[in-house]
Amino acid sequence: MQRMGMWMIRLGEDEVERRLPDGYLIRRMLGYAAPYKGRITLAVLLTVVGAAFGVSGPYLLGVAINDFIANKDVQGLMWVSLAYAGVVVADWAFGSLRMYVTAWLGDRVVTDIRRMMFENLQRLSLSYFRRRQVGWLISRVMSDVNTVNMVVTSGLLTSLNDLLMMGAMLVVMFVLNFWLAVVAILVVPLVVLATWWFSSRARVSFRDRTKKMASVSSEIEQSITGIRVIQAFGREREAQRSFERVSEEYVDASLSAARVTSSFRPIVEVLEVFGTSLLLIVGGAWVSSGALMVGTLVTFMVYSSRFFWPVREITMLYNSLQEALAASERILEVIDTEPEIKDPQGAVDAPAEIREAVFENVSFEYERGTPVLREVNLIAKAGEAVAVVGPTGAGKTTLASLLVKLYLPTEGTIRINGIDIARIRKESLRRRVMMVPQEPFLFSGTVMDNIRYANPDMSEQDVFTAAKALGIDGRMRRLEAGYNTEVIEGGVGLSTGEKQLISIARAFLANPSVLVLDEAMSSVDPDSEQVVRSAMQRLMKGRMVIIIAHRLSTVVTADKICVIEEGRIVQEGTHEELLRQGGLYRELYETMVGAEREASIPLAKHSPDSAN
Amino acid sequence: MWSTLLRVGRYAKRYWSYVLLSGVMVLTISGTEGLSPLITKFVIDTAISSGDFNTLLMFVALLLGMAIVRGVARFVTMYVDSYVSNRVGFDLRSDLFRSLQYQSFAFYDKARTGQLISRLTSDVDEIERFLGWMVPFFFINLTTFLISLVMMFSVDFQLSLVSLLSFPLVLLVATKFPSVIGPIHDEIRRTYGHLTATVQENLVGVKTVRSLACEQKELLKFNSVAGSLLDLSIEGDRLRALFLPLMSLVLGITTAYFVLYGGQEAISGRVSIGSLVALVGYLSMVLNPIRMFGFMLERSRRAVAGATRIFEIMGTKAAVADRPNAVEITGARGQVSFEDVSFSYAGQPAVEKVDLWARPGEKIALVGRTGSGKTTIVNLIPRFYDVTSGRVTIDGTDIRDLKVASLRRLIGVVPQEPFIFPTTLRDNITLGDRSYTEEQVIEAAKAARIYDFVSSLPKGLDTTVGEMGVTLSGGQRQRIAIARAAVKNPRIVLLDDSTSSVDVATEKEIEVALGELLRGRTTFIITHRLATASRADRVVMVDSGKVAAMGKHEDLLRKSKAYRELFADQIADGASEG
Repeated sequence: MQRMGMWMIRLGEDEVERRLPDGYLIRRMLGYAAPYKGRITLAVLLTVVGAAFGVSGPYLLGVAINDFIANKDVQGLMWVSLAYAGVVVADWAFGSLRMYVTAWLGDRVVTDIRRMMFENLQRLSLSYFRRRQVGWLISRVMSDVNTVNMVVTSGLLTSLNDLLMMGAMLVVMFVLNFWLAVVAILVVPLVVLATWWFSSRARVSFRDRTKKMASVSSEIEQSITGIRVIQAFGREREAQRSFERVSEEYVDASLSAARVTSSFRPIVEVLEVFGTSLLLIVGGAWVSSGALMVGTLVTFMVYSSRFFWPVREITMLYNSLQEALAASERILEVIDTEPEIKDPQGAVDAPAEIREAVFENVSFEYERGTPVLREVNLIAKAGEAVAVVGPTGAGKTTLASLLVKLYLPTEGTIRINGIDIARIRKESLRRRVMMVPQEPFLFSGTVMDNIRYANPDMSEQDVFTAAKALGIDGRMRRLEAGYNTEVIEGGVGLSTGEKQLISIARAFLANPSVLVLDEAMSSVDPDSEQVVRSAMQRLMKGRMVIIIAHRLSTVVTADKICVIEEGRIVQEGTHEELLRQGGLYRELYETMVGAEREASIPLAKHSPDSAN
Repeated sequence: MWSTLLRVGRYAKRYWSYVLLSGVMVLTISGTEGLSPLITKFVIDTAISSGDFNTLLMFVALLLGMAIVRGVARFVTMYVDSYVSNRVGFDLRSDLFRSLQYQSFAFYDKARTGQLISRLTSDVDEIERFLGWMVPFFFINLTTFLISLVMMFSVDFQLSLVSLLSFPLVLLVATKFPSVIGPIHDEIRRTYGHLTATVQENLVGVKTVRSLACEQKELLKFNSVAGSLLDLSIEGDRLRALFLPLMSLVLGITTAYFVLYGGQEAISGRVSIGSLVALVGYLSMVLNPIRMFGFMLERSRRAVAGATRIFEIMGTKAAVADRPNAVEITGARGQVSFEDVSFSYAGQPAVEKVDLWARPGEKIALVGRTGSGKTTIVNLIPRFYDVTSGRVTIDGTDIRDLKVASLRRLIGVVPQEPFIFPTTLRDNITLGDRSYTEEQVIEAAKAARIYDFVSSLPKGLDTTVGEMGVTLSGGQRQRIAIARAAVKNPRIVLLDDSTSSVDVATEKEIEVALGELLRGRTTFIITHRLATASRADRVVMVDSGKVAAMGKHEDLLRKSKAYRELFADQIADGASEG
């Protein structure tokens, strides 16, 4: 996209010690270009031929002066001008084609690499995402790939062109006049040195600048996402002050980077003119003495003016190459990571009808040494509603995640109709056992798109019918644009309750055999929850529902309630049984009901006795 | 376009002395550059042919001297330009940030965070680049063009006249190109943004994607966007490859013509070889600026587009602002009244003819279904939105006659989903207000029942949220928000009671914390819970933006069928235990 050669800006990215050897990285990345071997050959050929034409122009100019103008040969001058024009046209044609082919290559390879990264991200297990931030991954997929592309197409391939041009110019110069050629390239080492020195300094100051820019961005992001708090608490002025402080730091860093870049170009320019001056003095003296022809001096002067830019570019390429290698390593990390949970050889599809789900001695830990679930045993049968309750952090959500193979148990087995789910293809399992996660997440698109997300073939009519059956049709129609309300940024403008209802409907419409609701109605008002719950009871008849909740009112009607504490199932039974048993369930229940009963005494038909 | 540029120019005007300095340097650069080919001509024609080594040395020294002057000038102008552009960028960013600080909630309801962020980052960057690089570049090109043109004609009028033929051609290509590539570039940028958003959505919603087993669908979505990005990029490549080399072609052909025509003139002796060389040099110095013209046009267009977007936000008057004669409110008692209040949102009536009041220290519970307008009503009190008709008063004064800052100082808000800043716990409680003493902060943390947790952390209040794995649970976030309100010691508390994401024990804790916060303060509490409603002095039942019923909890239970229905299951729970 940005081909204006602004690599310097990119040099600021954080650099971490690379673990993979350069050779390996280059080989791997070249591997991604391998499918386009034909085009690559073409690009190299075009570059070689193009360089030859590029060098011919100034040479012909010298020939015109030396051989024809000096000898007053009009006929010859005509031919040489024609040849010059021919070279220009050929240079244009080859240059144009080369530009297209290299850019084409770059874009293809970029798309391929991105697709591979995205594909693998779809395979990776949740444990991978636990350890990484979304923003970090996005810059891998988007900007790292761009960096590699920029360095490879506008860096390496252009440098190849430059290098060939320089080589050809050197050959012509040395053939024309050996010592003058030596004079012409005298300042080259100085230019290389200066470039080298400046680009490493620029690297440091641009890194600093990028870091400062990142703090400006995060300050902006914070204050915009938190604007409601800032305003509610009247902290606008402080937010402004704090923003201006980081903004000022950015300006400082930016200016110190500017000092480096501003001095670079003038110094190289002076060096170049110094080179030309040497050429003029030595060449001029030789021309005066008759040892050199004017035309040759002109050829040399044109060459030397075209010599320095490539020298600069190639010197800078080293840094960009390092940058590209670092980016490559991060890219490969995303592509190469194997999902923790893979379907084993000979994995089977989940049974269409799930009669039974069994946890056998299941233990689980996210991090070694801190068990989240301990030896859980649990049986749920079709037609049952099983509730899991317990304090925050007891392991309820983990239990649900294990059932749909978001994680694998550290110990023990989970079986569905007697089959170990480790042997069931995860995708087919998740289609049959549908989990509605605690935080509702909506995709961009309309509410309608979201409801039928897992089942896109559904007609709008089907969606209306299903929503009516679930008792949420009215609610959906009351949204700003009803079912056509656009969901932006994961559902800004919708309340959490509305988002939860949509995500329940979405799972429900996928027609699963088992529905796992992980606190899926926590923000829905009790009134609507009641409606949806009883609709669910009706609609899921004969199927299995697993409800995770802390609102006990949600679970009293469940066929079985499991009370979980510190990763263990400590109680199991119906609401009445558990109340009779006493223990944690009764404790939890009394805490909740105590307050509620006090409030509803006027309606109570008979005085409660269980609480006291 | 011009008015936007002018407005950007006004920002630069503050640094006029720098701009002037840069202008002088620009003239120095193009002047010395414009003279160089002429000196080369003298070197070839005079010094070399006469064989006078001293003259040669003198001319070359002149050439080198001019290069050094030019080098200094270039350094000065480059640095000064980045200084001016960075300062202007800073000023623009600050002004924009300030105007964003005072936009009302209605503005943020409609705005997309990502877009606002890119106004402050990439749009300002674009303007910085425009001022710091494009504008000087334009002037260097313009002056170089003019000086070189004059010099060229002075070297040889006839040959220069011939070269004029190529100008329109270069200009045509140069101006045509941006208008062809511009729309594609825009489209590429948009699609690139779309692709980023697609990846982001997939990653943020990874759990949902896995749960719904719709990875294939996501892949298709990604491939379709990535595919159109590829098509667009290749189309851009094609156009670039087609257009860009055309200019070198024109330059080359003109040079060839120069060689032929000028060579003949040289043979006839009318033109010297030195002049010919100088003319070839001038030709590229004249044509280059023309060919940059299109590119400059495109970049300027982009900068102007960015500036337009920025000024549009700055021009948006804050919907909620101080009236000219607004007064500070201090020492309020906390009597709040709604008098016939209606509020329309995006043309839709959201609150209709609401009358309600709270005497100092009273607790008012608002109940009703999700979407009934409870939160909207409460949001009118701190003027997050302004009423459409009727009025809200505090101690009898219309709140629109009060200074917004002083009004909000009175009020503590605990929202349903508290926003936690990625900073220290202390700053999250005080929101960076250093005027609170350590005791006050600890007091507030204790009242909010978060202090035990805080003091269990090695760095206590100075622990940064998100650092070293310190994350906050839903209940902890809520208690931080309660502490945040408590430390303000507000007269009025607005509370969106959500204990949705916490277990019973935590709920109990929060309740206790709230009890402390609310003691003696006028409170509006939005709740789904019967128990909370029962403890209020008055319950307001909201339905479709109207007050459906109001009264004491017991009375409503007896009288209102709707009220009983709303709490049917909670009542049943409590009662079924008999």
